[in-house]
Amino acid sequence: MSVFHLQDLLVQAAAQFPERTFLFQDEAVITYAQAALKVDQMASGMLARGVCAGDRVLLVMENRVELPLLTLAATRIGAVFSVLTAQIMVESFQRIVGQCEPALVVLEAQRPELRDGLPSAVVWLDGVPEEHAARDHSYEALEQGERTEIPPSDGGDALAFLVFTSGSTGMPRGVMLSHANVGFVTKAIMQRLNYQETDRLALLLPMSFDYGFYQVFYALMSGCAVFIGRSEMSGPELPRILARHEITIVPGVPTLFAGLIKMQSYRPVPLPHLRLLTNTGDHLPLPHIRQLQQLFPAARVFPMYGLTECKRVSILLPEEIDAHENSVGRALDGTEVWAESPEGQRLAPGEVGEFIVSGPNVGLGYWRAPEETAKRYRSSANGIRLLVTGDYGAVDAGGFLHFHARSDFMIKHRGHRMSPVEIEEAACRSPLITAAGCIKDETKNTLCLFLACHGDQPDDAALFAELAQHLERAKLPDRLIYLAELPRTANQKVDRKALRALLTQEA
Amino acid sequence: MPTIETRLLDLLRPFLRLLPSDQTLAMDAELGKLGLDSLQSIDLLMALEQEFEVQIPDEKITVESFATPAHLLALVS
Repeated sequence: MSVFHLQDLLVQAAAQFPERTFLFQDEAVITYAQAALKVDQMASGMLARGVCAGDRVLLVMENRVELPLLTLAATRIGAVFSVLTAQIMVESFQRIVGQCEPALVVLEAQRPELRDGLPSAVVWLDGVPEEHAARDHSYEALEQGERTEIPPSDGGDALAFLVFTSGSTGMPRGVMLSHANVGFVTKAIMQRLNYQETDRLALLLPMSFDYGFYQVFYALMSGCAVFIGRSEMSGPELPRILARHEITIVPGVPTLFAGLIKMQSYRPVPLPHLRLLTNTGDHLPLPHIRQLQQLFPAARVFPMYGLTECKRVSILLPEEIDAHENSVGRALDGTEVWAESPEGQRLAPGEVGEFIVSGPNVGLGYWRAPEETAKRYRSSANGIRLLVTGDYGAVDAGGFLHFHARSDFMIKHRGHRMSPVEIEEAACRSPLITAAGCIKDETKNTLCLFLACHGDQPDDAALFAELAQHLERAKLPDRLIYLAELPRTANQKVDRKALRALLTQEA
Repeated sequence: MPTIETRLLDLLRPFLRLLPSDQTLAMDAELGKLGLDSLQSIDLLMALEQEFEVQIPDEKITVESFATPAHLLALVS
């Protein structure tokens, strides 16, 4: 059997569904055959600009049709790509550049400030800014280059791409995923979700978020059409966008579905085509599942659980929801999940412990961070990679996972993963703030920032504006709570458990 | 009687958590940058229709029409 390479997905899709639409947005429609051709041209263009197998290619942009093509072109030559959010802060971007040492960066003309201090070649979408015209290139030049022979590159366990998330220290870290990881997980997920070539999927989640990006792989495997949307579309216009494009599949996060429920209840739009709603990023509350089922009787709702380090852990089938309320489903076929005690013992069914994942979905570790990697990834006695998730719950006798809590070191909010530390640090940059502690109020789904300050309490909006200079919008707290002093642990760290207790008392 | 414009700006303010309370809200301010997200836009739509006793036609409910106060003013007047 030949070793799986990510580009196999595109080659197979172009052979199997040449005339079917792969990507569409506004006026642009790209079929699978056209995509394969464009990707080859772009891959040749990347080679001509000195990008080699193993080099990193960073892509900073909103969702747009060019993005999947760029990633597939990087893959085609064996380069390692990473998609970064278009809203990225200059500082985090520079940290990531420092870590990755990219051979090529692709930017949008609307973020010229990201160019400052970049040593690598830059390709611009929407035109090359005048001041960089002498040394940089346009996307069009990359796309319209001559096709050259492309040398084969390693697939299998070779690194395919990096997904940057917040580490426990608040610093960005790159989760490494291999060709084999993607090949395995795409098949395993499609076994449960079963996208069809007649499907039309709305990609509203940003592709910098891994579940957004993986939709490209699922499309390649199934031959479905992907509408390239943006997260701003998950507001009042959402039902009508879904109707206009006859969307059948919506991959989402709880806030997206909350919006869909709200808008569809307020001003219903017939959505007869909708057949699959898949949720990840955060727990979809049971009442929301019920409302979705009521509003869209023909659609099937799939609650899922996963983390970037292994992409997907478990999927609950719609027909299993009634008998397994609040479960996040069974582990993917070919993988195993169990709960472990603090002493490292595998727990009996029903007992609560930390989830451990074992299987070909477990990624390679963190990019150039051996210590962080050692904390979260282990090898079993027979050499299989294990992931220590940091999440707590139980696996019942039927193999269904029941999620209890995330570790206090990581927060999932609005589908984004963040470290409380980065939010606390951003707050402490304000000269008025003396201490900060961030936790999520799970019952109210709000991100709470506890603060202590010098003198008078600053205006909330003024502090939000300061925070917004250092934090992406999704990481801005929903609530600011001032205390005279923050509770501390024995070693003088902010005591998040005590903060949590304050919220509980309040309720 | 306050003008439509004043009523609109007053209605908008609580949705904009990045707008300092002592700062005036310009008609061409980008609402997204002031903290309005897509989920809140739905609440805003409901609040607008109630306050101004209108039903905004479906085809006018677009991502763009929530871009600035001026865009919203066009929806309700």
